[in-house]
Order: sequence, then structure tokens, then C-alpha cells
Amino acid sequence: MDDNLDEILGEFVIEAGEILDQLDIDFVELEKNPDEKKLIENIFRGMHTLKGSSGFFAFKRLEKLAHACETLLSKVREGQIALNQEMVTTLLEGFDALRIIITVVSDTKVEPEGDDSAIISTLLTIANGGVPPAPVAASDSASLNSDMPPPAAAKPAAPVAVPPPAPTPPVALTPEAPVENTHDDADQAEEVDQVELEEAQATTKAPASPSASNAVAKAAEEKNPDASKASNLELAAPVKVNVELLDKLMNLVSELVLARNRLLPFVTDNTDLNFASAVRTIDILTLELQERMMKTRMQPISQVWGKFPRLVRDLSTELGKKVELIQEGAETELDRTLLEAIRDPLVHIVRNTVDHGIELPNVRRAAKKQEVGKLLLRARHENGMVVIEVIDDGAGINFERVREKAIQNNLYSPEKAAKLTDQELIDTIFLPGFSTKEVITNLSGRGVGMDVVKNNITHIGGSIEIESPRGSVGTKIRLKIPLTLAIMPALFVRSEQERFAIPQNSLLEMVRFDLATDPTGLEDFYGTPVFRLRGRLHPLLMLNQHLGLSNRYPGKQDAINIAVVQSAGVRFGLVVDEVLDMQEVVVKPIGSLFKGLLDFAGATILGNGRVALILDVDGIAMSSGLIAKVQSRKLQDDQVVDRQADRSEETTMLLFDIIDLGSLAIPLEYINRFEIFEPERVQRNGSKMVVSYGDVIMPLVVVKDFIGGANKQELDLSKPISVIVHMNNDQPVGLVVDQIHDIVQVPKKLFSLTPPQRGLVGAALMGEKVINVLDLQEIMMLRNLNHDDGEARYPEVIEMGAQLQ
Amino acid sequence: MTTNHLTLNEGQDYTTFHIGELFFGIPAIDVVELSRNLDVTAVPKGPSYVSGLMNLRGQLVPAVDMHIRLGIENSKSDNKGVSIILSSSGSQVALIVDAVGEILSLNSNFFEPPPNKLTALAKEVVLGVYKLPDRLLLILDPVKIVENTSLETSALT
Repeated sequence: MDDNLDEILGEFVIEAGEILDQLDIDFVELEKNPDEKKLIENIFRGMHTLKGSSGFFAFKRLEKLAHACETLLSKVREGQIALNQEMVTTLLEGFDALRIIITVVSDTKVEPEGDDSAIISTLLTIANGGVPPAPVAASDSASLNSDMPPPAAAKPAAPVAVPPPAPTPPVALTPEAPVENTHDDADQAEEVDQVELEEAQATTKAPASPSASNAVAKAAEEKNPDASKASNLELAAPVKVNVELLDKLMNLVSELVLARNRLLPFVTDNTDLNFASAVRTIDILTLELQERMMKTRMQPISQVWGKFPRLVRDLSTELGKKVELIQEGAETELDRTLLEAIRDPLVHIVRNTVDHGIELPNVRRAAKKQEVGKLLLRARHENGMVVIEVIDDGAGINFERVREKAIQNNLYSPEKAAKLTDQELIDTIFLPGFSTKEVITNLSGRGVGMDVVKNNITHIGGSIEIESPRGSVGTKIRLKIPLTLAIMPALFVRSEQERFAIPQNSLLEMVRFDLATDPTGLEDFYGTPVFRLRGRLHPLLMLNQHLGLSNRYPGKQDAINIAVVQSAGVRFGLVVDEVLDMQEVVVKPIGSLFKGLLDFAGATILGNGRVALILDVDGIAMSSGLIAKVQSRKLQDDQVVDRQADRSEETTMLLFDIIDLGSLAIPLEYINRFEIFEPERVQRNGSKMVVSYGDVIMPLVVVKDFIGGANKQELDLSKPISVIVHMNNDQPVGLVVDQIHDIVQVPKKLFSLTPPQRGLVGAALMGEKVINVLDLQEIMMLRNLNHDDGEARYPEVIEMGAQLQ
Repeated sequence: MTTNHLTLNEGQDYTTFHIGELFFGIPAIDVVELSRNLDVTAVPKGPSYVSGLMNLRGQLVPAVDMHIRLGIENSKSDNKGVSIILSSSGSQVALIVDAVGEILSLNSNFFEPPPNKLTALAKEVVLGVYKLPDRLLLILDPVKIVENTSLETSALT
């Protein structure tokens, strides 16, 4: 019996939660369309069901509260009272109190102690046409006792539709019928009201006779058989199925698909038409079954969004803002586990947007915007991902504020912060411990920052971007979420004889590092090999050694492939033997025999039927001890290589190759960006070569032609060309080189060349290696002389010579 | 569940197999299928007696090398052997053995305690011994085979 009761109680909790969810949605809708009869009808019915079920379990608090809500609702339903915002707020508070009780019930199976008399009396006062006490601010009804008006102030006047609470009303067990107003029995109603008011004073008094209430309910049912039927239909909709059962079914279907695959070849060997047609039928049915089965895992995003109308309503009311929430693509489906995972991040983003993004009405008026701010939620499928956008037309990001905050929170030095671009400032928002709001409101600043949001999203293989152009035009936050957790893109690499997959969401880039040409090679940092990538040190891990596949360590002449990966604690390089291809993989757990093995996130089955393991970058960082090492000693460049000169004596240059000339460098500050152009894009304009670049035409300069001693050759246009874009008098000029390598730190001190060479300003020493540095000024000058297009344009003075000593 | 079968009753079916010189049996009711030449992908740093993961029609199944598991020397290391796919406590596992014999119907009442000459590892998983006319049949406990043994706990940490 007890078990049975538990089961029913479980169902009650689920049902109650669903009713309350639906009530929230209906309510916000009702506020917009107060005349929608059907909505009021639905809300009333939901509340009535809840009350009935609570009575069945003898949950007194729930029942009384639900009853008070219902009383008010019935007045609204009958048109005796017009709904206003205050009333909605009070009712919503009532719902919140109900929700809190139900949460406790679901945890403890017992109704918590508490006093809801304040909210009940407020509800009843309104229901009876009285003026409610001062607006009730929070759902914590116990704290509201002092606001409670004397119950006598509320006059029991109008008849009440519903029966008084009974210990076990039968309504819970019968199909619900909206209880019609029993207007013919005013006396009884008055008595009922009296009882309620007494209850509101939290005195426990036996409710009015249950038999009377039963009679009322029954009479109503008889009177209105149609309504009874209608509600039966609505109850017939979804069936609840255990998730485990679904997963099992899913596995069975997969097996069935494989069995079908084995069956298919027999058709070709068999001439029996009946057999062929039977197999064909099985084929079609299996396909259909598989598709439907996949659908069961998918749920529309409205499951998460459903809470937002209420959330936005409450927030905006509290903040005195006006916000209109628009939803597009609420039917977009994604895996239910992912749905769970994006719930909190989305709530946080929506809170943030209402709190920080959308301005107060008077500010919006001043900015010549409509008073009502728009908040658009949009979801759609795109390239096998679900894209969710949260767009507002608010103030956008206050970049200067972000900058100040970054300095204040020691995220950047003032000098560094001053140089940050808008995009970099946006990235700053995602750093841990960042919040721009001066006053921490109880809405946003809960200590959960955008960094947590980002972590949650990347954890499920998604990404997040913020666009916020300057000029107070609003913000667009875009989340990209994979359709399902089970499938993710991964890069396959080889270590010794085995293939491994690295999940793409932890992979930053692939670097090929030639130890033979790199003078510094692998450096040693307290026993951990490190390598330098764009001035930043990265610890290295030899995958073969880490996994115990072999002890091979790269020799001085080897070129190594490094997968630069980002784990939760550290960014590091994973040295692999070969980089293979990128594939979508289906992640399968590797089972309990390998528990405690941190290095693998799972395994996948390759096209050839073999199993390949998927690396867990976080786990590897942990099990290799890298995290502990890095945390104990911060990777700081100056600690590593003592022989290197002070940073300020160095300058950053881009290293590139020109065949026959070897490695050359150009200071990074003269470079706008670099590009690879397909040969088709290169057009000849007289003797000059140009490409269209953005909305301008960019001349190409073949660097080789301007350097003394180089072989002059026609540019090889059979393959893509590498181009360094230099801004010359605000005009882009493309410097054609053979190969772009990397960004390096070289001493500022340049050695002059004897004899001086055309096109070169000097040579820098990088370790043992001599690197020639381009003389851009000379090259630009020479170019302008060679191609005098009438418009004498002198190059910007590039003071490279000044560095010569 | 499996042990229940052993404690009750008369005639129960046992799948028999060879590992090295020894002859083993395992309750046939736990055997899902036999399979040969499945590719095994090694799982580095995994337990030493697990030679890796196999793909059994889309399911990942760990393969237990019974030579290592029972501490029996493997004379012919290149031989891939036969995989006995077991369904044990909800998950599947493949036992890689040298050869599979016939299915015997045995009465567990005649099981005797394992002989002392067995390796310590084998003793952990041998339920009992059945005296066949010409040789001894060692009955294995399918659940114990896949439990982490004293042998392995150190390798995982």
C-alpha cells in the first residue's frame, strides 16, 4: 500500500509541476489578452485539478492556497472582476508558494510547515472586491504576516463557485469538470466564504460538510456533461514513458537496423519474389521505426522557453522596464539531455539581457526608441547544429565600462586595457570573475558570470558568441549547440600504430614544429618540455609516452606535429605522429572495466568496423600531472630562458620564406593581416597584378622582385599565393611571399649588412639563426618608381633604419 | 543470478573451453555467442588482462585475455583465439580463449573445491571443479572474471 501511495504521490508531483508550468504560460498570455475566455477557463481548471489532488493527499496548505487562488479565478471567469496586473502578480505569487510546497513534497513526501495566511487573505480580499494590502513583494509568504489585513475588512459578499475543502474530495479521482457556479445557493456560499476567512487566520477548523461539497460537484458534472467530455479529450494527449525504456528501445532499434542490413544481401541471391517483397517491407518499416525512434529523444526547445514569458514578465515588472518577448522557432528540436544542459545558461542570458541590456522606458524614449524593449529568442537548425539567438534592441555592451571593470578586477593592466579592441573586450566578459553591473541586483549578479555560461556551453560541445555593435542598437548572443551529445566532430591523429580522436571542442590548432630549423627547439621547464607559440609557452606531452605506447622522444632533427589543446586547467601541446582527418564520431562509453581511466572520453566505431578511442583532454591534463605542474609554477617566459634578453629589447616579427632567399622577417606592426588567394582571383591590370580585397583593389607586390640577388621569376600562378597585407597610406598593398611561417620574437638590435642589400634593412639574430629583415620603405619606394601611375604617391616613412645600431 | 543457477539443481549446461593445458567451463546461459577474428583495439593504461575493445555489431565489448586473467602462460602468442561473448551483470564482455569445446550438462552438486595447484589468480574466479572421466573441468564464475582483481587495482591508479 505504501509503495502504491508513493507511486501516486510521484504522479501527483509531476502533474502538479506541469499544471503550474502551464499556468505560468497561460497567465502571461492572459495578461496580454485579458478577454480570452478559454485561457481563464484553462487556468481555472488547472487550479481546480491541483486543489482536488492536494485534498486527496490531505495536503492542507496546498489545498487552502489552491482554493484561494481558485476563488479569485472563478470571479474572474464569471466576469465579476476584471483582471488587472496587480491581481496577476498576486496570483503568480500564489503559484510560486504552491510550487515551493510541491518541491518540498517531492523531496520529503511530506507537506512542509508554514503559514500562507497572508497571501490567502490577499487573494480572498481581491476576490471579494476589496483593496489588497500593500503589494506583496516576494514569494516568501511567511514573511508577509505583518501585512495581513484584518480579515473582517473583507466582506463575504459574492457567491463562491467551488465547494469548500474536504479531506478527501472525490474530484481527484473523477475526470475533471469545471465546476459551474452554484448561484442558486448564496447562503451556502456565504458560509463557505466565512470558513475560508477563518482559515486564512490560520485557525484550524473543520471544513464545512464534505457531503454538501460532493453534491455540488456532482450536480455541476451532471449539468455540464459536454465540458466533462472535453476535458477528457485533453487528458488523453501525452503518455509518460520512462527514459530508460526509451533508451533500451533505441538500442533495440539499432540492432534491428543491423539485422536488416544482414538480411538485405539475401534478396539478390534469391529469386523468390515473395521473399524479396517481404524483405522490402521489413526494410521500409525498419527505416521508419528508426526515424521515429530518433524523434523520441528530441524535444522542442519550447520546453526550456516555456518558462521565459513568466521570467521576463517578473523581471521587467520588478525593474520597471517594459519588455516584449518574441519567440521564433520554438518548435526546433534537440536532444533532451542537451535541453537540460542549456536551460541554466539560457536563463542567465535572458536575465542578463533584461537586467543589463534593455534600458528603462525613459532612457529608451530619450534614445528615440520605442518604450517597449524587444527581446527576441530565435532557434533554428543550421549545418547539423542548433543555433539559438537571444537578440535585444537595448543599449548594447558598454565597452568603456567593460574596460574599466577589466582594470578594476586586475584582468588587464591599464595600458593593456586601453589597447583592447571591442572584440577583445567582449571576450573579457567571458573571463572568470567579471560583472559590469555596479549594483549587484538580485537578478543578475549572483556570482554566476558569463564565464560559467560559456563553460557550460562548451562542455556540451557548443559555442557562444556575442555581437554588440557600438551605437546602442542592441546585442545579439548566439549559441551553437550540437543536435545531440552522442555525435561530435573530432580530429583523428596517429600515435605509433593506433588512431585516436581528439574532440574538436578542445582542439585549438595544429602546429608543425621543425626542430631542425628552429634554433630554440624544445625548451625545458622544470622537467617538462615546452614550446613557444606566438610568444606564449605551452607545455608538451608526447602522446605515445603518456599512453605508454612507446618511449620514443623526438630527436633534434625531427619535425613534430603538435595538437594544441585547451583543457579546463591548462593549454598544452599534444605531440602526435600524424594528423589524419576530421570526422563526426558517435561517442560510446567504454564501460566499467576501464573506470578510473581518465585519458579517454569514450570510443567510437570507425567506418572499417575497428574501434578508435576518443581522448579526454581534461583527463589527460589531470592524469599526466600537467595541471599540478603548471599550477605550482606559473609558466612565465622570463623564468624559462635566462639567456634571453629583456622583453622590451625584443620586437615581434612575422617570419616567412622566399624560395632562394630563405627566411625573412617583417615587423608585425607593419602587417595588417595575411591572406591566401586562389590564383583565379589575381587579375592583371597592365603590368601590375591586383586582387579585389574587401571593397578596394589591392595591388600585389612580389617581394622577391625587390630584393637584390634574388632570381627574378614570373609569379607561379598555378597554386594559391600567400600574401602579407600591409597598409600603405591607408591603402592595402599585398606582399607576395612563398610561405608564411610564424610570429617570432627577435632582438630589436639589427645588424647592418655589408654590403647593403637592396630591399633589406638589416639582419636579426634569433638564437643562432640569422634572419634578414625587409626594408619596406625601400620596397614601397621602388614599387612606386617602377609603376608610376601618374599619381606620385610617396610611401609612409617607415623608420626601420632607426633601429640599426 | 548466475550463481543461483549453480547452487540449485541438476543438469545445467556449461560451455567448455581450453586455455593452455587447462579445461574450463562456464554456465552456458550467460554465453551470448561465440565469435572469431574480431579486431581488438588496445586501450592503453587499461587493466592488463583486458586486451582492448571489440566492435560487436555496433556495441563496444571489452575483451579479456584469459591467459593473463588466470595467470596461465601463453605459449602461442600470435594466436587470436576464440571470443566467448558473455552477458554478465547487464554488460557484455568477451573472453578470449584458445579453443571452445562442447557443451556439457553437469550437476553442480558434484562440484568440488578448486585444487591447490591453481595459480592464486585462477582461484579467485574458479567456483569449483568437476571430475570428468578423463580430466578435470574448472568451472568459472562469470561475474568474478570482470571484477577488478587484486592484480589490477594498482595498474589503474
